[in-house]
Amino acid sequence: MKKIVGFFTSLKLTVTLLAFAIVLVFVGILAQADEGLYGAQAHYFKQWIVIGANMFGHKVPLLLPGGYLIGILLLVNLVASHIYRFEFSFKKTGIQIAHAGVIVLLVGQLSTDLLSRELQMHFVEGETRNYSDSATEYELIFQCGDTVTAIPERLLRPNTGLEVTNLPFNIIVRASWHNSEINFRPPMTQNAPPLAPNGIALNFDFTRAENVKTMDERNVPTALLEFRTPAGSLGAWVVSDWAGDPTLVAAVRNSFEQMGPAMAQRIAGELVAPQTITVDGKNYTFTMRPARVIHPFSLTLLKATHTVYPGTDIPKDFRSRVRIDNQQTGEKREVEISMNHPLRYGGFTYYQYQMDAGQVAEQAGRAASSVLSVVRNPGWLTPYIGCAMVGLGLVIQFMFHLVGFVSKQKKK
Amino acid sequence: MPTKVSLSPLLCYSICSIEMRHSAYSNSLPLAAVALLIVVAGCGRDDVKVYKVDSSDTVATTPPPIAATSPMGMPATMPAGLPVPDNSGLPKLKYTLPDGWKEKALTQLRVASFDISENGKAGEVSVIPLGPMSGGDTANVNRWRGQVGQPPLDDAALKNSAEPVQVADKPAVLYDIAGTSPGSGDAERIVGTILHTDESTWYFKMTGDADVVEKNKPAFIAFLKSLEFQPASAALAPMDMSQLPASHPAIPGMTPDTTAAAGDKPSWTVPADWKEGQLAQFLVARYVIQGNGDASAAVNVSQLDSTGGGLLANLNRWRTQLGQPPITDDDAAALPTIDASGGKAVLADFSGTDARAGKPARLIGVVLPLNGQTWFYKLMGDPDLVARQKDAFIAFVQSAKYPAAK
Repeated sequence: MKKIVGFFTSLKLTVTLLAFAIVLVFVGILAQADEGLYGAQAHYFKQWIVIGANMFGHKVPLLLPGGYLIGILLLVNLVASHIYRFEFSFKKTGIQIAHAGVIVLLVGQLSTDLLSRELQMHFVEGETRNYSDSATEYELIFQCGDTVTAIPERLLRPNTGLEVTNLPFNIIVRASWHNSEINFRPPMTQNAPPLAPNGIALNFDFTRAENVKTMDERNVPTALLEFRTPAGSLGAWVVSDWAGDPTLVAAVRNSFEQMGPAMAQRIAGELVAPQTITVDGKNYTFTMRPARVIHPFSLTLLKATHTVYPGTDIPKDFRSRVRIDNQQTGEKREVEISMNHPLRYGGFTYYQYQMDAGQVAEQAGRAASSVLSVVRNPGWLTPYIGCAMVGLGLVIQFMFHLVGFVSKQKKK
Repeated sequence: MPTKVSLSPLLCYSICSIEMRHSAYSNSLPLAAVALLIVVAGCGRDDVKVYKVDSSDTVATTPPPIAATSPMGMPATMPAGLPVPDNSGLPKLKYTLPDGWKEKALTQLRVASFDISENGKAGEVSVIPLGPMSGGDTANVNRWRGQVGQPPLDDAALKNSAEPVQVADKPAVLYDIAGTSPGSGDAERIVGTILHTDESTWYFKMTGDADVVEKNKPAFIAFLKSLEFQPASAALAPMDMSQLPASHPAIPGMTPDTTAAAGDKPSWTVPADWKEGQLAQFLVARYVIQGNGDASAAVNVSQLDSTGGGLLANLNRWRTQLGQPPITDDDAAALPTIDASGGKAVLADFSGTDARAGKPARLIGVVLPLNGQTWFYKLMGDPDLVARQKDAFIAFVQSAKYPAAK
């Protein structure tokens, strides 16, 4: 036991871990060029052990402790040292407070990493939203009447069966691709039958694609599912975020714009045709879409303003005027969200993210729209608190020394 | 056994509480706290959620009135929609014609097209420019591979198989794919080149008998090098009808006049109670038959190059229109045939539910391969009406006299 305590409270461990942290940060930042920001985060920082690294386009054999391991060991090291080494004396209050501040920083960072969520809210002027969509997570949903059952996409593992308590059928996952491509299916050029004999698969082909790495791209998941009841199979169906995400549907439609707006709309119409199965007289309509977080209040986009510097296309200001409507509290008020002026409400922070408004949208005949980045981060205050504690601790410690020094001088 | 998915986060809570009990006995409080944090964070994200929505909300997505080129999060890949017909803005081509190549009438999306014929064996060269969103190279090359019965390759393997080539003065890649025709089983080969320019993607493709294609490969490469892109003409190129289904429904807002040229249309005897219908894209002829009440049926005639994708694929496409499972090659081979002018035609008779209208329907189809083309006749509609019209339909098919067969 003594040995263990000795190990976890040693200053050697602290120094070693800090050295590893420096190397890890260096390697992780270089790797972003090859792996992209999210890829590097997952590979080096949100990781226990890092095996192999990518630098300058080459694979480098490397074994390093990952961000989680370093952070947690540092935390344990610091806390254990506090408990076993430091004596609680009035004179050392400053050091204690400063260390506690570091602990708050470490725990806060871990909690941010594990608990925070980044979402988006897309709306056109006049639209009301009581939900936000995830930009990186997806879900398979079944709607029966007013009840929605949402199954996270990551549960759709190939060749597995899912039994969901309130759905009267089992879901057999035949294939599941985290990223996919879509092709309109002009039958005469096809040599293979459709992926599934039902629904959108009749008009569109879906193929697996490599997962994307860069921040300005995103994965578009697609899955091939079969639904089964004790009475038999309800057939195979394709569910895809290509069909469930309005932005992607609009992209598909616009890529066919050259064929004329009517044809483009028609093709998009085929893509969003509802897919439904009937079990025990109940209709279940299903699709894949970005994971949705429902808020107990709604936001209405009243006005999206995009101003540019006169005579240029350089954006000067993005601004969304929204109305908060909370039926639980009866609250109803208007707020303006702009760059550096987010709205903090209901545990979420709404930042102005993207905008399609002003002259550009007007000329293209598009309705003004805005995208808010919606962030939930329960630990958002911890860096402020942690830094304040460290600062305060250092000031107190310095004051002790200063006061001691001055009184000594006086005695002389 | 299917995996049971817990609906409530009960399981997570129980794990959490186990962690907490552990922590009570442990000296390392922080470790337990961290473990707790991880478990709590892990819980919830993998849960199935159930919630109520306003029942007027529908699952179906409606495309928002936002252009894809807007600064909204762009998708990683754009749909590789094949038919992008408006090439009026594309440049014209100037080239040196290799010996033995014959210029063909420009149809469909093509801006240049050639026939090669040697010792009774044939090849064909086509040049098709598509918009910048014509799909990735991988998808298109794998489509070519499928046409000669080869399995698709991944990006890396395709990259290895690519040969550098020059189109005009621009660098491009060439893919040489040998295989067999899935329809006839003959040795076939495709030599294809893809050139990306700022405005468009050009597809140069030589296809046909393996020997002919192999022999003409140097000529094809020389042809590519000899190309000169000239400024666009204002003339609108006709749309490639063959890239869309033979029985594709009418598209509102599209002029039907760009279908098969009048000279290509067969002459036939049309029953008196058939009314000429709105001619849609890719249809040579369409007739509407009105029955009693709201019962109706329609006859569609279309014609495609080569096998039009193969007999089985087309039969199964018809079956999907009726919500029926696909049939196999053996089933297709067992179908009866009828004598049509020009040869034997396969006669299919399927019943099911019209996938679009949701009503019972019957489909009688005739597939007639003729002079390197395939003719598709389809009678589909109310089952009783179709049953009554079957003989008239077959007589109609048999009455057809084809331009080339005159």
